[in-house]
Amino acid sequence: MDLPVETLIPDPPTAAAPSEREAAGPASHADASLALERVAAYCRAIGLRQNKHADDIAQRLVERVMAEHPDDDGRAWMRLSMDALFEEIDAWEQALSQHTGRERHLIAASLPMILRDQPGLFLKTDHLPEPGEVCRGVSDRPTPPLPPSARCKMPRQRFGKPPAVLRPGFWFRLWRSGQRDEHPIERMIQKKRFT
Amino acid sequence: MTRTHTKLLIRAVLLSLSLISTAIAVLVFADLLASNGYALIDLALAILFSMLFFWIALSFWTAIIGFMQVLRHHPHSLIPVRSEPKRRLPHDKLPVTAVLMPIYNEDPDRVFAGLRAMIDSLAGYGVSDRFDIFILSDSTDPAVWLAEEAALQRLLSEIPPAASVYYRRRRQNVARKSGNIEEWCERFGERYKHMVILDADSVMSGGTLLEMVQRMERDPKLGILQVPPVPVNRDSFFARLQQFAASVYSELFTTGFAIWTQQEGNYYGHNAIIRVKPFIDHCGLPKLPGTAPLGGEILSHDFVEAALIRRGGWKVQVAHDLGGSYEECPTTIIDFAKRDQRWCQGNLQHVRLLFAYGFHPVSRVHLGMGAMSYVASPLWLLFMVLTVIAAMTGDFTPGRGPYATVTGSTLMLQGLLLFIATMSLLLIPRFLALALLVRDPHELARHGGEAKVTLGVLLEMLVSALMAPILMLFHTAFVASNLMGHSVQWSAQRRDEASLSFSEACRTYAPHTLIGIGATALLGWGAPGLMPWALPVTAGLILSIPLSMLVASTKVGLALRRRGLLLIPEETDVPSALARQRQLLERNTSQDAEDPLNRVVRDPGFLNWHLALLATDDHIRTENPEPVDFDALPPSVSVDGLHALDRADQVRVLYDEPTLQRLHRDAWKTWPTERLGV
Repeated sequence: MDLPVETLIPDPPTAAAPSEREAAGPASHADASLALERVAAYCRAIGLRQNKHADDIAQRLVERVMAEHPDDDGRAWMRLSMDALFEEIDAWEQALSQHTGRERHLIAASLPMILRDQPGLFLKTDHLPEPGEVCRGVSDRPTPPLPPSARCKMPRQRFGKPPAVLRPGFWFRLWRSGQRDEHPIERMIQKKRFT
Repeated sequence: MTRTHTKLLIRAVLLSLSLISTAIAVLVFADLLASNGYALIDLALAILFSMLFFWIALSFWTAIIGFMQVLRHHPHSLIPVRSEPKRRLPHDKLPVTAVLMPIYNEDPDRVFAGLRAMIDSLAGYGVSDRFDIFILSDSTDPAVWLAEEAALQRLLSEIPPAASVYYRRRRQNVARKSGNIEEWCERFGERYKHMVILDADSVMSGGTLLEMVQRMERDPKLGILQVPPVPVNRDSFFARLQQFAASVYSELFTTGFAIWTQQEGNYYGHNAIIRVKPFIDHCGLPKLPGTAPLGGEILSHDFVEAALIRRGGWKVQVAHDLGGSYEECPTTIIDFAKRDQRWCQGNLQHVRLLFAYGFHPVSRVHLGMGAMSYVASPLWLLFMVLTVIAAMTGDFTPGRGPYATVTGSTLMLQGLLLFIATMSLLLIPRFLALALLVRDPHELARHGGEAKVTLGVLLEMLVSALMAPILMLFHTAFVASNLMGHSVQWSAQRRDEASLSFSEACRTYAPHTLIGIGATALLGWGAPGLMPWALPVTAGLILSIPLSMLVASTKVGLALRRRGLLLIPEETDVPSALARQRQLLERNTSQDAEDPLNRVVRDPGFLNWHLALLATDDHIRTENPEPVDFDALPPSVSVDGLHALDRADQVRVLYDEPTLQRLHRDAWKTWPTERLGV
């Protein structure tokens, strides 16, 4: 079954329009390279490589951070740029969470494909369906697990007690009765007689 | 004659033959003991001898029955496909069968390579959609847990679209493997008619899996169908001896066993198909009264489950005629003994169930045989010790006084007779198996040819004889330890090839060596006449250190293989499922495997995959575990990630999404570029 994943996943946070990027110009500080590399690397790690957005997003975010914190150094810009990126991703995930019902299930059912083609951060756990649906081919037929109401309980089996002669207690009692010079069979007979 | 009559007749014949041969041997032994009249020690020796002789006689006659059955199907088919002319359902009419792979801290590369090989094999038969694969993890090691998730992620991206694979991890390993299966039955079982139980090292071909389902469908009263697994894939000398022995001899034993057990067969815990409904109804295992080792959770659950399902009126059969069922065996004597230690405790528990209510007599025999396979060792040891004592006290000397007619040569003859009889029971099945193999040119070629197979059998007999007393001492120690109340821990089985260092060998086998030297010295001093008889035992013990190192060697194993010795058909004509498994394993291990504890913090895709799987965990939703207080964690956690935590905290954090997300984001803000791998 072809899953229309592309239609369900909202567009990722897009880079600024080309005209805006050109107007801003390249980062002016050499230390910005650390922040640029880190943000772009993260974008690629979450699967934006195919969309060729990684470098654009990094450029935009780092420029914004540098403009807001011109006196900080490269490490601080890196941290702040990553914070800015995480904020955008949170917003993006918020958008995804608006999908409901079947759409969510389809997204979850195609999880391996999503993770292979666009790994990461497109799903949060509250979007996820039942365990069986996190697998391939799942939408074609009923899948495990059962709803809790339909689950069963394995009844505990009983083995019963072994015959008396096979229980250690029998031999202990026999030995003790021997100590008292009292034969157990005799004792049983006596017990029967007097009760 | 009805099927039931035939079954009873075969059992009666087996029992009679075993008893008659034991009786004859005991009479000769009693005569030997009578050389100077009977003493109390003679009575003890006679009882022990009769028990031990009966034990090997039962095994011998089982092999003979198997031999006769296999002979009937000769010359060209050692594994006749009996079911071929029978009714077969079209594939699309077969019920979807669950294939369960319970794992516990196993190497995920091996596990997933085997699974993938099975999935590909099923795809080759066009039946991927008839089997749902369940990976049931009980892994407690966080690194193994994450590695399993990574392996699953890759597996799902590679398998055919029709294949379904599910992963479930338990937070609490209640009742070990049997509890793992039970949890699956309660949570998923109602959806499935049959389940195939695997072990972490199991591989089964698609054709075998399909045939198992067909047989379950053909016989609606069949509860468990066990396909005996064949050990494969190992290279150490020790492992190759086991593989060769199983390949050449086991046919006789499993066939004989299947014939006399019929519908009261046994279940070995894996490589078997089980009807789910009766399993749920009849196989819920209780705890045994008392504490471990002989009470508490039932460890060797398989025999008990077979007995329970049979008690419920369902058949248990051993499919001796089905191939395509594989497992891996331990590669050193130590690993073999460690596995035996677990089995020993479980099998000793069975003694308590011998007289359980409603069990079929044959089920009781299985339980008794399971226990006897370990108890036999201390009995042999006791027998030998008493024999030495008897010899030292002059019991085996020519008669004096009223027994003067008993000469030294008579005693020698009787002793020789008993020795030959015992050896015959142990060795004749091996030679019969060899004879069968020699008669089948195709199988013979797959084992390396007549000369190589004969040499292999002789080598196997020699090394097995030397190893037997070593294992006897191990088993004796395990039985004694269990009876004294010591219990084994549940640890993952070491399944990789591992050589044995000299220091480790010395540490482990020093007691064996000392006992061997001590026994030889004692015999030399007190009963020199017994020394030649005791040589097979004492030699194995004295040589235990070099012998154990030799058999643990992969180099020796591979050298023998290059020379065509101890070959098995799975090496000369590799089945497709095993070839695929090996190919995948080589690929998986050659890939640069990143530390999963690092990766889950670094890699956003993998982190989300972990969180996605976490959300499928029933317990995390129902139990609502206490959230982790990030500030209470060691400050170094932001720098070192999960490696800054102990194992318990690693597990807690891996269950806590906010903490993981925070670690992940901190890592990307603070970790050096090289560590992030960017």
